[in-house]
Amino acid sequence: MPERISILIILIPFIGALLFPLLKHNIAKYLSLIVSMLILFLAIFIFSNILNNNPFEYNLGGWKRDVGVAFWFNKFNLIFCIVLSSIYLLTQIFFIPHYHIIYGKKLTKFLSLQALFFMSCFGLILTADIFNLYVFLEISALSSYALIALGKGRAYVASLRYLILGSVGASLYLLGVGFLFAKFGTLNIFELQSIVQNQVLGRSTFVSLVLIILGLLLKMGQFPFYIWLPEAYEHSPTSVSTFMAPISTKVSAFLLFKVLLGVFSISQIKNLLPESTFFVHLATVSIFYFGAISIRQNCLKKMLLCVLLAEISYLTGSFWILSKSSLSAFSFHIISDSLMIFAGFVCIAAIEYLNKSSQFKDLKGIGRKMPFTTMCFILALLSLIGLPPMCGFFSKFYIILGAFKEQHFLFGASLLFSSLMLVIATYKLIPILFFEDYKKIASSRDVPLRMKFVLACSILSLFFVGIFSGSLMKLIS
Amino acid sequence: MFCVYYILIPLIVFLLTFVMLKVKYSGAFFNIVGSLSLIFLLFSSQFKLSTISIIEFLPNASLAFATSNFSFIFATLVAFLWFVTVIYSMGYLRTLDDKKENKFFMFFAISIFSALGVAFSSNLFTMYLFYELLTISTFPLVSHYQDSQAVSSGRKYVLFILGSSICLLLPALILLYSFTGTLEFDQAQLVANNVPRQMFLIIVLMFLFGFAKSALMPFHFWLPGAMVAPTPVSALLHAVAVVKVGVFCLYKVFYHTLGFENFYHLPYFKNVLIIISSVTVILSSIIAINQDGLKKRLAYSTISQLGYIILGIVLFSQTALLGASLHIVSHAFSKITLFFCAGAIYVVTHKKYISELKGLGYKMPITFSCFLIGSLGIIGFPFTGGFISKWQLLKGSLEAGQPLVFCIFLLGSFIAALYLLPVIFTAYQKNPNFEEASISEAPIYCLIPIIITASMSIMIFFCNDFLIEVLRVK
Repeated sequence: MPERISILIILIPFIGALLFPLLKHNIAKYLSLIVSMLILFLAIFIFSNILNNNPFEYNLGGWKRDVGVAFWFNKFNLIFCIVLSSIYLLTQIFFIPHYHIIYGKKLTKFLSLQALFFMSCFGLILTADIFNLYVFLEISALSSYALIALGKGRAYVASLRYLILGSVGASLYLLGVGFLFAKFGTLNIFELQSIVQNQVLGRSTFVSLVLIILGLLLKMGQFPFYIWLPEAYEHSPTSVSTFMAPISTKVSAFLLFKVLLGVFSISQIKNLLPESTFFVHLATVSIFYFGAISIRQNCLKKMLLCVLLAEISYLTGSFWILSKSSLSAFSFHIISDSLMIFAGFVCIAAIEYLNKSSQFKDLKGIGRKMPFTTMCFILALLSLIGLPPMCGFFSKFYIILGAFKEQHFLFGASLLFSSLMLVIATYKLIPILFFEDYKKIASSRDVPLRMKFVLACSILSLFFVGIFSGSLMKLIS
Repeated sequence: MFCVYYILIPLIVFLLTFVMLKVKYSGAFFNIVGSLSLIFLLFSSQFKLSTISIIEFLPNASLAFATSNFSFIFATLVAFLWFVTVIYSMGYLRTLDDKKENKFFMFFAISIFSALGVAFSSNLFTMYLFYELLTISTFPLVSHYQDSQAVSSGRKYVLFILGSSICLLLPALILLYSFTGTLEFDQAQLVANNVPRQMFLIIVLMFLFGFAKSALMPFHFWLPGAMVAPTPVSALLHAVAVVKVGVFCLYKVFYHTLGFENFYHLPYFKNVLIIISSVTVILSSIIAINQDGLKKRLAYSTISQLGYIILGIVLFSQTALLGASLHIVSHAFSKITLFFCAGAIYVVTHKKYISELKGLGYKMPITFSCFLIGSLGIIGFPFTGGFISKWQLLKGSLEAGQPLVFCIFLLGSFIAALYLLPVIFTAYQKNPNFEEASISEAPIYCLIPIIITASMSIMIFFCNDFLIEVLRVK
């Protein structure tokens, strides 16, 4: 495979984003579908090439890595890219006939922003340059502010809040990068790694590390920096939150992994930040907190957002345990959590499509009218609870295993607690969904076949990742 | 290789029923065909041992099945009672004019699927997987009637069983895995070498309470609650399949994973385990005396008899273990007879309470004589299967040097007589109001299964040597 094909994974959505505003609505709509399909094929193609060969580096424009921009293609990056592009494709299939109704004249803008968002996510995952990473971070942030502001009502406020906090996070990150550059004179992750390896790290590295961590935690929406997150995803249009909620936090979590462990070794981080277990405790507290409030929600979307916030803390906690097994659990959870949260949101989108609301009081007896959709939602919840053989069980298993191995028993217990709370929340739902009579929807049809296909794909992917978790773990670690 | 086919049959039945959900009587048809072919397959295999590993999830923990003598006996028991219960449910549901018959049979098949999965699992991981699946698949059966009562007992069901398995069983598994690096059975030596002593005690307790399906007090509340389900569900699932899966898992974990030899040097801890299960035996029997609801009383009786089985396991003697596994079989037949009788009474008279049964004995002689046989089986009267298993349990308690447990076994049987025989006495009291009422025996579909199970519980007494030969652990 000529390596220069691989850069298309970023270029295709970029070109698409530039083209869409110039085209007619209908053409743009289907072009964006084609774009998402192309990316998926491309990601799978590159992945299948790497599977047997070594991971490779691509230098943009042929410039050397210390001057130019480098991209790094390895197995985990590409698995993540495949997950992302399939989420892109599935949301397109799910929403495409309704884009007109939702966005009206803003349709092409939306498509363009969406393509930009995905482009920047791919960039963030693949880039091997910490400054270039900042650029992509800003692109993704800007496009998501605009996407969120497409919603109605409080969406503007939510977007503004996100803008302020997101910019703070990005600037902190940039400041940290500046420190690193001043100290070591390079921005490439591999160069940095080779320089840092043999050095005793001083105060300035510590400061840059703290700045980068703070910036990324803000972006992730880790407790206590989460204020922007629930509002942003609640008020943004459903078609936006469906793909954005599962992806953007997970990408930021992945950046934490990439920047810190790409540059420093585990022991160096432990030396620089002797109190790194603080973050584990923080995650523990936040998991208990969000677990407890998740049962008090009265709206599906809010409930799922609580779960999402708790899941982010799973990631933070398992990252900061900083052991080999918990880090591979971290990587596995990134994949499985993106899929689970996506499945949850796509089910809510399907419910809202017929029902216009996801408040519990409007959902009475909906399981009888839309059995397929509600069953999918229950399955997604069961996966989030952690029932085998779906992927939620395995990621929870690995995380707890990693925690127990390093004697973080409380963190492990917090995961179990959040599962228990989710059991209660799910049980609260079941009588509402299935036992009561439903009168609101006149037609007795479930959602259209196209949506059913997307739902089935998203649920089957949970089973797939769960059942093949063994081989996936081998690839990741 | 064969063991997969046994498990697949109920799954296929489930899928076929699901596809033909709209076709009348399809559920009953497929369930009958499935159960018959399962019984046939199990007998034709002649208990040949086999193993198969399907896919590896974690290192040393894969989806794998294996057969053993005990799992064959358990599977045959489940398959046979599945067939009988399907016949019974046809009579029960149709007499009560149930609209959701096919859905009922669909979930029934998937429950059997998971019970068989547990029976044939060859490692802890597979066992956990099917254990959870069983919880999920029986939930729709418990909340079958979808009224407020079903909601509240469904809540108990989910909270106790799912909650305990998530909060106790799962961490116990992970702890075990993190210490030994494997979830296979028969790794007692590994456990002895790698697990620190205090951790070992914690893990044992977590397992003991984590399998909440075995209804050890205080994790028993779900069982009386689950009695709102249709009687066939209570009969097969909450007297046999579900609760016996709980004790089956305990058997496997204590004997095969943790290993009896690891307990020999823990005399105090052994006593703690014995006390916990003895309390369950006695306390639930005493509660049963005061229950007026017939099914509730039977439920508490089940809890107490499950306590017998757990006691048989935690005595850590080979004979007691044999008694425990025999009791799984003999109690199954007796208890399912009792539940069938309770259901037959409900179908004919719509009466749920024991105090309302006056005079019924004259109207339904077959039902009540079968009830008597079932009761004697629970009590452990000679010429019933219960006698055989209790004999072994008593022998085991003396072998283990626990004369107090011997007394508890006897006391439990005595109290069992106190709460079961009065039902029959009440039924044979004269009741002038009943003379005119046109009450007769239950429909034939209900009656035949009762007779079959009652005679089976006597049969066990006479062919006990076969069972003892098969179930004896080497």
